[in-house]
Amino acid sequence: MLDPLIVKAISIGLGLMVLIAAYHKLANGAAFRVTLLEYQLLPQWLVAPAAKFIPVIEILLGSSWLLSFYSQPMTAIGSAALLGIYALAIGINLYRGRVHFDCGCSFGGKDENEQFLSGGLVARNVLLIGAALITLIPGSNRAFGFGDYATLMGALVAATFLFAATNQLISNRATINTWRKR
Amino acid sequence: MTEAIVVSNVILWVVVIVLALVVLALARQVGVLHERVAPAGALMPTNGPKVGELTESLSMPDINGKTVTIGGPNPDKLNTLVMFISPTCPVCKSLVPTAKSLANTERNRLQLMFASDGDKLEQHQAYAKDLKLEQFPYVLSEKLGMGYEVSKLPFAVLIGSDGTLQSKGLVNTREHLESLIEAMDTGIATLQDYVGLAQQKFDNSVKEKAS
Repeated sequence: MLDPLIVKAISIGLGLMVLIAAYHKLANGAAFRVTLLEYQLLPQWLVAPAAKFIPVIEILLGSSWLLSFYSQPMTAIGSAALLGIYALAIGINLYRGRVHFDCGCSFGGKDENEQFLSGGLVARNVLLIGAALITLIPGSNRAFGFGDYATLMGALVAATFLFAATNQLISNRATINTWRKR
Repeated sequence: MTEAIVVSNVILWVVVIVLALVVLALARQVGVLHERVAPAGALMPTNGPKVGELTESLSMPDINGKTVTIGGPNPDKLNTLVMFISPTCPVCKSLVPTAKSLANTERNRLQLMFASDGDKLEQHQAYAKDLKLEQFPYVLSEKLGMGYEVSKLPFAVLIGSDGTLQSKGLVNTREHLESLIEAMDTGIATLQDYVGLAQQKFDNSVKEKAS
């Protein structure tokens, strides 16, 4: 049995992450279109509509994680599918050897802070998919006390920092990989 | 008892969050360092022999009396990295181990030699012993330094196995030394040449589209 606190923490964490991602895609619409184009997976006429459509999906999923207006399993599977598509898109371009464009997956959305594609990003997405799918395990039900909310806060803050640090390290590694080897 | 657990939990959470923050800050700093330390190559002087020219073959005794040939086609098909150093140059002392390590990783196609000038043979012998240079040829020759117009130390010259000058420059770091080998591998002597090539390619493609 899974404690509901774990489900709650994952829900809020993933929900906020997806919402922030959607916000950045909408705020830098042009940049996101370029990113989609760079992935070279969609026919050109589909890129502009997809650039509008993907953030909408993310907003739906994110708010559903937070407010649970769709059923939990549907949200979890939907998010896992979306993250899986992203991982696949990165994987295909890694296979093609096209890695030197911004992956469109760095948060903070700073223009100078572009993150190249790497296997680390695929691994990161697989981990996130794992987190989303954990919530499918049937859980027990119990009322939350003050201590639970404190734990929730602590876990979310720590997870945010660690997620940012992971992204930074993945990006550092991609930079180091552009150096001379041997 | 419960109180103790609550207190310990609060403290642990604080520690976990601070640690996570420290990890993030460290990762960020490493990232900033990467951005700041942009790749830089060896400083190449414009005087002296040009890259691509055939070098003059010079034979001379090294500090142990063995005859060494520098320049000209190499019979063992090895590229030669000649590093000009001096006992009075502090940067040389720190760069010599770097050069040795680089020569070791490239040992199947590169031989490393050291060159200096002056007449105090004993001083150079002690210097070579101090830096553990016994396995590398170390020559004292004013003519060699003059030939390549070495004006500042540490200076490195990379001669290809066919005897042509591949690259040269003032070297202060491993990156500078690597840039010499990189220049040989790519056949592009300087960053300026590279930018020029890219510009030319761009111009050509524009012309093609226009016509």
